[in-house]
Amino acid sequence: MLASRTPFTGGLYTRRDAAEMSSADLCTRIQGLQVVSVTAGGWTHLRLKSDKPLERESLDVLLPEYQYDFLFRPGRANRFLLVSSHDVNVTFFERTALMNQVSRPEIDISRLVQELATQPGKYSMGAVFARIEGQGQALRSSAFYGADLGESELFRRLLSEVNPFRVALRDVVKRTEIISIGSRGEIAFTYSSQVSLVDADSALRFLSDRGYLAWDTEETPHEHRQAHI
Amino acid sequence: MVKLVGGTHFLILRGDGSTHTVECYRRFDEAVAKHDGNSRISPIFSVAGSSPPTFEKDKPCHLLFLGPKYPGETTIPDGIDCYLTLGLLNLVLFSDSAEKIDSLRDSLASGTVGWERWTLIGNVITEVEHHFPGRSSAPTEVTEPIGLDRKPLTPTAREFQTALACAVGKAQLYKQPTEQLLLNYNKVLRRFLIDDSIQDVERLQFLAIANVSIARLTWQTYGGTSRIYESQIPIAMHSLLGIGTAVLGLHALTRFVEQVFESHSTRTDLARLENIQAHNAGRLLSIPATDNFWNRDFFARATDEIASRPDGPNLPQFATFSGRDGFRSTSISLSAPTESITGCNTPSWTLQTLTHEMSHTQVRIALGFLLPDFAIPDDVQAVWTTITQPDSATNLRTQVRAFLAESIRQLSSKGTLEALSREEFFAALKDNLDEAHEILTHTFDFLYFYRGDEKTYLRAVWVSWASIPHIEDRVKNYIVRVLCAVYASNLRRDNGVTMTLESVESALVELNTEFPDSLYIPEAISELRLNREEYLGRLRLRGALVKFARYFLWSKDVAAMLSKDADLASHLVGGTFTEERIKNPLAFIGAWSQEKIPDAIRSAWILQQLAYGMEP
Repeated sequence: MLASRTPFTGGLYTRRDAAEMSSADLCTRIQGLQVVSVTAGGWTHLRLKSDKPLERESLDVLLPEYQYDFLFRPGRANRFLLVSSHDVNVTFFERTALMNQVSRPEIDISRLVQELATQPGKYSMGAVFARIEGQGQALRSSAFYGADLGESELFRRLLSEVNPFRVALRDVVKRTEIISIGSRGEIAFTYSSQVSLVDADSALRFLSDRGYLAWDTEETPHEHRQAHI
Repeated sequence: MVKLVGGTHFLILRGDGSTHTVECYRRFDEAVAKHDGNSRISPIFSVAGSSPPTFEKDKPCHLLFLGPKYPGETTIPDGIDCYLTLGLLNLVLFSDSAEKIDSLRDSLASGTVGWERWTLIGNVITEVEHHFPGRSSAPTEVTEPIGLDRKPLTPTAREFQTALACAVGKAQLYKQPTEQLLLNYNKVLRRFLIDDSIQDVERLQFLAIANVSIARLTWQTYGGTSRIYESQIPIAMHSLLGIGTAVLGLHALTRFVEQVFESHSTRTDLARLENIQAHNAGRLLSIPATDNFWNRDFFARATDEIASRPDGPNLPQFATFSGRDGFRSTSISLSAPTESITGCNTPSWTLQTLTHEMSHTQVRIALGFLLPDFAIPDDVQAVWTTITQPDSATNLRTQVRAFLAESIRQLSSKGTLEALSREEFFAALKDNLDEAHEILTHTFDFLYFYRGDEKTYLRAVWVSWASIPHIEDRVKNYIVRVLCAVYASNLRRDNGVTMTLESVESALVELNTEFPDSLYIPEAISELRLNREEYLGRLRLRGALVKFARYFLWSKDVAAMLSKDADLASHLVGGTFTEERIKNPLAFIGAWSQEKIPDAIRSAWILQQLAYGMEP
């Protein structure tokens, strides 16, 4: 059972060897990883128990056992989504020996933000992070926060000056944040109930149906991490 | 620092014409037990744990009433008990030492502060002294003849002159800034009264409202001031010291908003549309909400233009309390319910509801300026020509007038535009005017005063409606109004009508959990679920009117002024007065009126802060 309001971070992935990814396969690859539950929507709750922490930072507090929750969602063919409660996906892939076998899609965040601003629909934007190009080191990036950024005339005007790389989508009807998406397939959301998973599914389907996702990319999670250090 | 600690006490004055006695009780039940025709009462709020004044037989003691003064600027020495009141003399000080009382009086009384000092033996008043900070003189602008030769108006005009002279005189006594506002009021009303183009009946109605408003303002502000025992006010629970501070609190709030619209007047903004070229689409109704045309800020002014060309004062709307009218506005007055005096810490009685009434005023100005004057046939024809021959529009204002008229006409779906004669069109428009006014007011209030925050807005309006009995028959109209207001945030959205309805329903479900005893929220939820298609249809018909409000009543410059420093509202400490001042009274009441149970002490703190705690 997952606690309500648990934040999850991770991303979308594809296996380069074209093999399908399953939760059973993951469990055979890493000791201590077990399936806790499977939802009707196709999400699997996995829990990894370990006597050592996955991340070095956790050594600050020594515990008899470390526990990490994962949510796994297989997609079409060799695609899948994996998010973890402690932002430990990279270490997880290292342990499962999948580090160089998975890559991440590109998401056209810039076009997504532009279109949500000009033709708004069921999602509003609660946060947008953007690179600013052409200003050198003096000004490199910016962040915008609000309940509905696309409704701001100022934000729409500034969009031509910035290059968004991450966006948080909100459900207009429920007035809640659904998911945060990055241009390298990064995904984050807060689990509150099974409804959070349904909402995240709907948002990903929206991205896929509208053609914002490009799966033929070669960057691995490790390369991605290096690129962002 | 002054802190409201120690509870509410009840101060009572009894007088039989020759002798006046004073009593004070901790409990209301004890205070009211001997209440009769010679008794007057007011709550006083203990500062720093002061016990109720005790009047020992044959022993001298002193009560000093002083104000108006911001309590945060006051230091109370040992040996003096201190209380706050809701009257204009908002500080009460008690001691058995005449020297201490006089010394404190001398240190506090300066500028606009007046006082009244009672010397008592036991509980019998033996001596009364008082001091006004200013002097009253007959204001000649008010007392000189109006020059009105219309006999039917004479008695009401005389009432106006005397009421206004009295109000100005009282304001002079206490050096209140309302003096200048009243003199402006006098100038504008005099012009109106001698304008022969206005019918007698209309002038009479205006005068009657003005008279009530000025009379209320005077007795509510200055009732319960010197000489206190001669100055009873007809609000039973405040009949001794009055509610002057509460009225000044209302005044501070309404003046903040008025000053924004004085520097950026709705009428002037709309007049400036005349300088903007007509859109080549002809009918603004046909331009999609996502068209770049709507991205334009039609009211943007150059910075130097704002600084150098203020639009001048409007006729001030004097805000007072009314047990009968509750929250209400006319073109020249505003009222808040008397329940707000002791319950403005709750969403039910929050003074934030006054923003709805102030929105009515701006909407009235906009409609008056843009709709055709039905007494002038050429004006009606001009609007009709733009409607039937859209390409004839010469500027944006002409197009906006047609847009507004069409938007109001189509609230009722009687026939298409092509099938209507001019007379039928304008008859339908007139039929729909009241509803249009409410929709525009709600949308204006939502966008400006709730800053488009759907959840806060819905909470505020439904909780305040819940305090009005027997309005079941109005729930359907209320649903439509809030749908329209919220739709202002979804105008550009695909399927925005449906999403608005679902969003309002979802917010009402949450509110129902938060306020399970609310009378009308369950009814509204049920209505929306049972008659979904009907409400979707009604919202579609009203979409154009919402669009008008969003793009032609809303200006980002005004919004910025109204929300300036809004984030600093909650840094104050409830019940405490310090040197920290309020920067934005709208944000202040929004932040401090969210408690579920009315609390007289917290409400008194809110009203004192509004009245005296605003940053100059």
